[in-house]
Amino acid sequence: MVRHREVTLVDLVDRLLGGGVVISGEIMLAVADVDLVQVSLRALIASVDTVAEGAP
Amino acid sequence: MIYVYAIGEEAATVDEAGLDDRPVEAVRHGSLTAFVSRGVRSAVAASPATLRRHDRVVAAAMDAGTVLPMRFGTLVGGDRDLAAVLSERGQELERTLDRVRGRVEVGVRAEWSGDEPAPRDGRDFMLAKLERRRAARRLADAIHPPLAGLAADSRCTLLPRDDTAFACAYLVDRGREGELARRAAKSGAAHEDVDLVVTGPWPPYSFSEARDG
Repeated sequence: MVRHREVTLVDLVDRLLGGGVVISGEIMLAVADVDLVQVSLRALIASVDTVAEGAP
Repeated sequence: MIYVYAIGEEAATVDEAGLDDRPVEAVRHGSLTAFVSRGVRSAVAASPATLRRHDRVVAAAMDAGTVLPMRFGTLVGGDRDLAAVLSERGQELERTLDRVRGRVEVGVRAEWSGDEPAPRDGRDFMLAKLERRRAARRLADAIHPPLAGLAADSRCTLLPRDDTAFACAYLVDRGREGELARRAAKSGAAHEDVDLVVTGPWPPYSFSEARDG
């Protein structure tokens, strides 16, 4: 079975928090607290695993 | 603070609302353009809404030209910091832009289709876990290479989550997404123990970092 363009939160989390250009060092002044982000994302994955609000 | 969504080439207008409902602006620096929102508060929490917002802005910027998405949550203090990043990383960013030009990312993940029987004891649990890893490896070895053959580049993670055997990202020429999806569908039909989920086209999130060679 193959589904197309059903963008779930898992797909977004994998890409937006695991990919992309990373700026390191002093230039990057602030991000959301990393531990908090990870905790909340684990909860999100558990609760809204299959949420699909349609293609962006 | 300036929130940075993506780095691209052409300065294009992005009509999507940015984070904190701030407008999205294209800031030119040399041959590069940063897609940014000014006045974003000092930390952006990851939530379904903010992740989708970031993705929509990047996707809109990609509609106008080649872009490299930034990691979610990237903030710089001001225009001087942004200019410094674009200067220092300029050559590397241009090389990576060259690599993704005319290409999109397609995701393929293999979710286990059946329910796992509950383990009887700890030994049983460990054996089942080992068997899962072997099965995931076998599936990835069977399904991934033909898909990688259609792509300029690929990335795979084995067992990223309990419900997933593997997750791969493919960088394919724009217009070949359908071919990759069809080939994945064929593989999906041949492997009953997993459901293949194909998503995309995505901006090149998994291919935005410089790579040697």
